[in-house]
Amino acid sequence: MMMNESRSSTSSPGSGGPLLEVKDLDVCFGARGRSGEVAAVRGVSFGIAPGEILGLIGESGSGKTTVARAVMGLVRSATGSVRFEGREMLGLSERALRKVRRRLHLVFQDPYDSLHPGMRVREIVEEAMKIHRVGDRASREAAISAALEEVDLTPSSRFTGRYPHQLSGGQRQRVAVARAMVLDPALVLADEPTSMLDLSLRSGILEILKRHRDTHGTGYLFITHDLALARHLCDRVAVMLGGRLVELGPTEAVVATPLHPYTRMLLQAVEELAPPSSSRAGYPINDQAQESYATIASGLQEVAPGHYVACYEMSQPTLDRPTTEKEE
Amino acid sequence: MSGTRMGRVGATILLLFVVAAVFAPILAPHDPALRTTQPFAAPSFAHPLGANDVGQDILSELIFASRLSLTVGFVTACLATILGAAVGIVGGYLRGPVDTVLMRGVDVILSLPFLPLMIVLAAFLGQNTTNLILVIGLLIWARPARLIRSQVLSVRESGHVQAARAMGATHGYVMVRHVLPRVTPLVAAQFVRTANVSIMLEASLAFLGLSDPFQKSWGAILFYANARSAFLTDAWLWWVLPPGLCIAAVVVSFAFLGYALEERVDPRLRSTLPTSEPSSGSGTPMPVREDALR
Amino acid sequence: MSTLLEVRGLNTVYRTTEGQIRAVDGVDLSVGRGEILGVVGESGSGKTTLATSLMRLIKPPGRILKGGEMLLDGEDLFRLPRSEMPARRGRDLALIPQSAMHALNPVIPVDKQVAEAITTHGEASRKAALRTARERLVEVGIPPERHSAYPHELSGGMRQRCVIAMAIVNEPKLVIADEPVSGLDVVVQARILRLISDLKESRSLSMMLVSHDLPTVTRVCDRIAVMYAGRIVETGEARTVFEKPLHPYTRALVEAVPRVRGPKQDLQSIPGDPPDLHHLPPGCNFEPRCPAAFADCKTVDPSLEEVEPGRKVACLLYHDDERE
Repeated sequence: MMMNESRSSTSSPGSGGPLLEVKDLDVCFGARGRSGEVAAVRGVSFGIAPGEILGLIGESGSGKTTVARAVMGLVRSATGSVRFEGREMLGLSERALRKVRRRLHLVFQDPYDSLHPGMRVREIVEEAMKIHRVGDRASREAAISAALEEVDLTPSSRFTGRYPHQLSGGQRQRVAVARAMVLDPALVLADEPTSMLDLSLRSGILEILKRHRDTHGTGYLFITHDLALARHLCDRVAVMLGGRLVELGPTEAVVATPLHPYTRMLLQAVEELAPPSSSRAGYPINDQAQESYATIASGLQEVAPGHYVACYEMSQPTLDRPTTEKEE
Repeated sequence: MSGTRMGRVGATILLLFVVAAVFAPILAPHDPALRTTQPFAAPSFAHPLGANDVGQDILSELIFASRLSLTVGFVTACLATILGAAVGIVGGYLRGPVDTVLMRGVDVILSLPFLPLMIVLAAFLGQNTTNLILVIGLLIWARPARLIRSQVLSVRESGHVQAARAMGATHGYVMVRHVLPRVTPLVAAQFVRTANVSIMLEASLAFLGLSDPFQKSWGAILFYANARSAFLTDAWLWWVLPPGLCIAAVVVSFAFLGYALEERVDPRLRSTLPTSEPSSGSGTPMPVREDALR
Repeated sequence: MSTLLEVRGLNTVYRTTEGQIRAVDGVDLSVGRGEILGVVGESGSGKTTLATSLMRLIKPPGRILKGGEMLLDGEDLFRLPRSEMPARRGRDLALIPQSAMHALNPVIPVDKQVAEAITTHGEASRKAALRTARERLVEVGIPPERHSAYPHELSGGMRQRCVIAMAIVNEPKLVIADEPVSGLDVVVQARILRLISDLKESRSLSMMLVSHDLPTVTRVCDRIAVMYAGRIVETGEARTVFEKPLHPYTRALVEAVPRVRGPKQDLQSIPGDPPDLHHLPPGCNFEPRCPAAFADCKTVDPSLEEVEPGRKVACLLYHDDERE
């Protein structure tokens, strides 16, 4: 791939060695040795600096969740390179992986499913500390309260004894975030953490993530399908399509001057869903465009400082309707 | 009858038998091992259910026999459920070759003809209660194992299991802390079911004369009744019917308990739950998920 | 524009272990012919219960209280015997349910399913029904070669189109759509909404669209009703409500919308917890979370009053007469 990871990390804020470097990540699913193998992720490369929030944008089936799972070492069939704090993650033994997992944490999409229904909030938040045998009883108790206060579940004593079913959806997701924060990880992977929540609760969660980044310097990989949401949280965004990265750059640059046609299509859709005051002028959404882009071999090229795009039509300022003849 | 009512009725009947078993020496009017009246005596005030062929009091026999029947039921159920839950959880959670090997084992046991095999084993190993429990237990764990495994398959995909894995938890930790609590209601229901089956099997074996000849059980009473042709005389009323009713009552009480427990596991059996989604008026029926529990 | 649907005093209650809750609390609303009314609310606001109540598909432990009216073309559907309703569903009223995957039968090709929706209502022959079904499928944008596909062979967007075809195939007077685009990708959402707008133009479709997503609803709807804790707290022309929200709750909803254009503003979230229908405050339901609340809000329960022509708000800030 064309992207030079050392350059990407120096161009990201808060440089001082990248926290996470993913290079040429490939993940294939399907029956081993049979022809039915499906490439879920192909040649994905990106980096995250400490204290940086990278948004990974894509629609369902684009492979964005698979990237996160591969970073966590939860996917066995990943090839390429995933370096976390300078250490290669792919191919690590189960035992070594368990140690690394203290430093990175996953927040799931569905807060109704990701909390054990039979455990109290205290036990849920404490679990990671127990697994890694961190602290004694008193210090754990203090860490639990601190983590709960940090996600605005105050006073924490009101919540520690509750079971998940006694909490609202927003509160559950906060518990999930508190669980992720309690060991003070270096990197948090958040997989659509707000997509199941009501609009009015989303901003609360985003606020917590931002604040935590500011105070603890945690890096985030924030996975979402919503560019508007990413704009409010992320320093940089990476757009995925059909298992590949098609565009990567500072959020404002990507939103203001989207280069790849697919990014433009996504933005157009977001604008169309946005309130009616925004102008309708933009790029037409083509129903078949998505499939045809997916087949294009893409290498990322840097077109502006830190702004990379897969070379397809990006040089053409006026976008013609993409060809559709081969899809039906 | 609602599930909770059934559960309560079942528990009450079962409790009566447990009390009878525990306090047998106090409750029984005579020592069942002693000859206390004429052989084949008809019911009288002193011997409400008459006497058997050697003059032992049948009511006392019946009360003491509940000890063996219940013990066999509980111990065997413990054995089979623990084995079944362990195999089901390990297989369902780890998947892969471990699962394949375990499930092939389950298949083999499920395909064996139960009763003939047990008769052969019981005859071969010798007629004592420990062997009986081992034989029954080792043959009936397969069904619970299969059922528990199918639920584990869905639990392992749930978010909190993934979260625990991502946190760095070991497989053992996840199985004990995350998977086991989620399948506990199913395990409890299977325990009851297995206890039921083993009481029936014990009675069957004893009726065929394959139980410990020195221990009284309801099946054994029936065996002697049959051997002394009680089925052909008036004696069936006090010699055959009572043990038969005891077996039936215990089995029914276990079945009631099991139903109440299963209803708590499977909300679709609960009748008064609001359905979440109305289907459109012109729509087609909603697909019903394959039932994983029966 | 004449009125097609007029709902007055609709109350739907649920019996729970903690007592009875009013999921829909005295709702009045109307839908004009060829109009799309958007009902917006968060989870637990009663919007889905409202949709289900109008279809008369509420099941125990829920029930619709007597005394409410639902006039569709002048006829009170709440007075009809229950046995009459199946014949009306699909013909007078059609529902586009929340999940397209569950609404379709996985073992029947989609054109047959749409045709079935016609034949269950009698008259048409199987052949004619299938022909009509295919016409509708084309109309919602499914190419002929995909008509005999099974639901699992179609993408989420295609399935949603099938469900829409099924809803309009009997030319119902009113279509009720419950979150028709939630759970779909943004690009697909935009297309489905465009389809709904197009259908509204071409067939002068009358519709009630229920959603939690205020901007989406604003885009396709003519009027909006905002629900909170089972009540309508604000109604009005869609754009006006979005651009100049009056009720503090509506305002908070608008401020929570992330925007991709224009200056980047901080997103606002609504403080406090969603309302607990078992323990509603004595005054205004929104008072505990309201930034603009004043003393009277704790005691006076505001009614929905007209503040401008076509604009109603249930908030004491705009009710001068109620303050006394």
